Amino acid sequence: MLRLCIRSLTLLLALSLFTFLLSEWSPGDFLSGLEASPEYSQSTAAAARQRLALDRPVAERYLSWLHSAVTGDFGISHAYGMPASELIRPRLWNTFRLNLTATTAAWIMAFWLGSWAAARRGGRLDAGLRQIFALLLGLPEILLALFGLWLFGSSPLLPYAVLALGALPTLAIHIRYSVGGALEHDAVRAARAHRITGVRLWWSYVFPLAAPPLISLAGISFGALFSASLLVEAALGYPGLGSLVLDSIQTRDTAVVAAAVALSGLLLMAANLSADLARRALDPKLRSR
Amino acid sequence: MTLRLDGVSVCYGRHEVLASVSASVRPGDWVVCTGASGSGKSTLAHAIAGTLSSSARLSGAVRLERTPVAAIWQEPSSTFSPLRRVLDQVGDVLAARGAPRAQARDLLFRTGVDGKQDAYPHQFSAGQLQRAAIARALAVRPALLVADEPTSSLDPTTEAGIIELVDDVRREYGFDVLWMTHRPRPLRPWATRWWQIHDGVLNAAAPDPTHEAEEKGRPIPPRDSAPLVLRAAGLWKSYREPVLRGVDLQLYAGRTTALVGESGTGKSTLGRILAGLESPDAGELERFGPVQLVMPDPATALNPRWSAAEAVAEPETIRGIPRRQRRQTALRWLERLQLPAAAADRAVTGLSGGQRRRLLIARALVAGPQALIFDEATNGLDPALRDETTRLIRELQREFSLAILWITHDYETLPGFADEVFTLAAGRIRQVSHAPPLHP
Repeated sequence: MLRLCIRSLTLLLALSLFTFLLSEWSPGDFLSGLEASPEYSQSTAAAARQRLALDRPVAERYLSWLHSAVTGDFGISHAYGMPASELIRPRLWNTFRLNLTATTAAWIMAFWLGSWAAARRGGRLDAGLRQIFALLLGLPEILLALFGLWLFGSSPLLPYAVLALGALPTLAIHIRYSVGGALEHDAVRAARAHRITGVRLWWSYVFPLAAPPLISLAGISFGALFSASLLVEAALGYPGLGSLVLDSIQTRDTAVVAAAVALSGLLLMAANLSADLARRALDPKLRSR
Repeated sequence: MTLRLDGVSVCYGRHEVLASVSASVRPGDWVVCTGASGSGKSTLAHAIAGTLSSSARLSGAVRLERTPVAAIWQEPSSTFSPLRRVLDQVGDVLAARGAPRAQARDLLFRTGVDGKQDAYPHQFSAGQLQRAAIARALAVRPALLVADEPTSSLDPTTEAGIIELVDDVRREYGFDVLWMTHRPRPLRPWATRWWQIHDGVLNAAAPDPTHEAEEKGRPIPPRDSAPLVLRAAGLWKSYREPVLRGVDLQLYAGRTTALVGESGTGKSTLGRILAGLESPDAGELERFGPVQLVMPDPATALNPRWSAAEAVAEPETIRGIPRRQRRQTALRWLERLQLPAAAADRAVTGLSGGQRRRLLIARALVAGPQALIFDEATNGLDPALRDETTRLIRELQREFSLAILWITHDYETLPGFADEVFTLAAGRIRQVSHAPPLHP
C-alpha cells in the first residue's frame, strides 16, 4: 500500500516535470506572440520576461512551480494572472462530473446489454450485438461528437451522450465475454445443478466470478474516457478542462498545462487505485495476503 | 425407478460423444460406471446432472422419476466459487429450496468438515473440499447422487474416506448413487451393478471389471528393456515457496509417462526444468538425448508474424541451415503432421487451434528429440480433435521411439497409451498406476 503511494507520487512528479520540459523544448514561450508585434519594445519585453520569471532556468521555474503546487495554487497563470488552481478547479469539477456521469451511464447500459448477450451466447442476437459493437468500437468519440452536433445541434446533454456512447462498445464487449465465461464456470454449473437460480445465481456467483477483469477495466476505461473527454469538450464547447488545456498549450501557459496534467494524473491514479483496492476486497486469496 | 435414460445422445458440433445410451438406476442402486478417459463418462454425468455446456446438444430422454439429482465432481476446487465462503455456498443451496441457511453448519459437520466452516475454498484441502461438496449435494435432499470421478485426484486414504462418507449419508438420506470412475477397484464393495462405457456406447450389464483385472493380472511392461532417455532425481525448485520438493522421474524410449496435477502444483515448472528451459535449485538431471517441450498454448508459443513453414523450421534456423533446405524440412514435417501443404506459407495466425498445435509438435520434432514433453497438449481441444491429436502423437512415438512425458491437469485428456500415471501434489510425485485401468 505504502509502496503503491510512493510509486504514484513518483509518477506524478515525473509527469509534471515532463510537461515542463516539453514546454521548454518546444520553440518560443508565453511572450513570443507579443514580441512579434511591432508596438512592443525590446525593453518592455525584457521587463515582462523578468516579471514572469521566464528568464530563469527551467530547473528553477519547475522547482518554484512544484513549491506552489505543494502549497496548493499550482503556479500563476500568465494569461489570466491568477493561480492555476483557481482557474482549473471549477473546470476540473465539470470534467469530472461529465466523466463520472457518462461512465456510470455507459456501465449500466453495457452491463445490461453484455449480460443479456452472454445469457444468449451462441445465439443469433448475441452474434448480431457483438457485430454491432465491434463496428462501433472503431468510431472515435470526436466523430460521434461531430455527428451528434449535425444531428441534434448544440445541446447540454450532447457531451454526456457522446462520451457514454463512445465508451459503451468496449465495456459491453468485455462484459459479454467475462459474464459468458463466468456462466460456463464450473462453479456456476455446479450451483445450477443444485438448483440455485435467478437473482441468487447471478449476484452471488455469475457477477462476482465475472468481476475481476471488469474492475481493472473500470480503472483503465476511466482514463481512456478522460482523454477522449478533453477533445469532445473542446469540440462541443463544454466548460471543462478540455478547452482550457488546449488554449493554455497554444498560449504556452506552462503553469496551467502542468497543473492540469498533474491533477488529471492524480484523478486517474485514484481511479486505478480504487480499482486495485476493489479487486483486493473481492478476492479472499488476495485479501488474506 | 430413479433414473431412466432413453436413447440419450450428446453431440459437440458434429462429434457424437454419447451414442444412444439407454439404462436405468433403480432404488437402492449404487451403479459404478467405468470407462477410459474420453469414453463419455463425464458427458453422461453432465447430461444427468443438467450441467452440459452450452455447446453440447442432447437428444433422447433423461427421465428422473425421483428428484432432485445432486452431483459431485472430480475437482471440487473448481466447482465452488473461489470468492464465496463454503458455508454460504452450501447455504445458498438450502435457501434456494426454502430451507433455513443455518442447516449448512450441520451438513458440513455431518460430512466431517470441522473447524473450517467460515473458510473460503482455497483454504481447504482437496479431500475436505470434496466433503464440503457432498454437504452441498445433501443440501438439495437428493434422490440420486451423480459422482463424476470424485476421488481420482485424491490419495487412497482420502479416497476411502470419501467413499465411506457417501455410503454413510446414502443410508441416512436414502438416495441412489451413480458413480463414474476409471479406477473401479476401490468401489468394489459398494457396487450393486456395473456399467461400462466405451467410445460413447454404454453397456448397462457389464461384468465386475475388478474381478477380471485380478484374474488376468496386469503385466507391467519391462522397464529395463527400454533405454533410459532422461533421469531426474531429487529435483527441488522454489519461487517464493517450494514448488518441487524432491521429484524423481525417469523417461524411457518409446514409453509414455503421464503426470497429472492441479494447476499451480508445479507441473509446468517441472516440464520446463526437464526440457532445460529452467534450472532446478537442487537435484540431479541427466539427459541422454535431446529433450523438447511442446508448449501448452499454441497461440503464444508461435511468433505471429511467421509463416507456418518458418515456424516449423525454427530449430534449423538456429542451427544455421540454408533457407532452401529448411523449407524442404518444413514441408516434409507439415505433411507428416497431416497439415495441408497450402498451410506452409500461411501466417501461423491464420491456422486453426488444432493446426497450430500440430505445428508446435512439428517444430519440436525438427529438433530431433528423443524425449518430448507435452504440457497440456490437448487442453481446450474438442473431444474429436483431442482424439485425433493423441492418435497422431502415438504414431510419431512409435515411429521415432520417443519417450513422452504427458503433463495435464485433466484426467479426461490422459492418453490411453500412457504406460504409467503419476500425480504431482504438494511438490512431490506419486505413482498412481502402471496403466490407466480398463483401457480397452
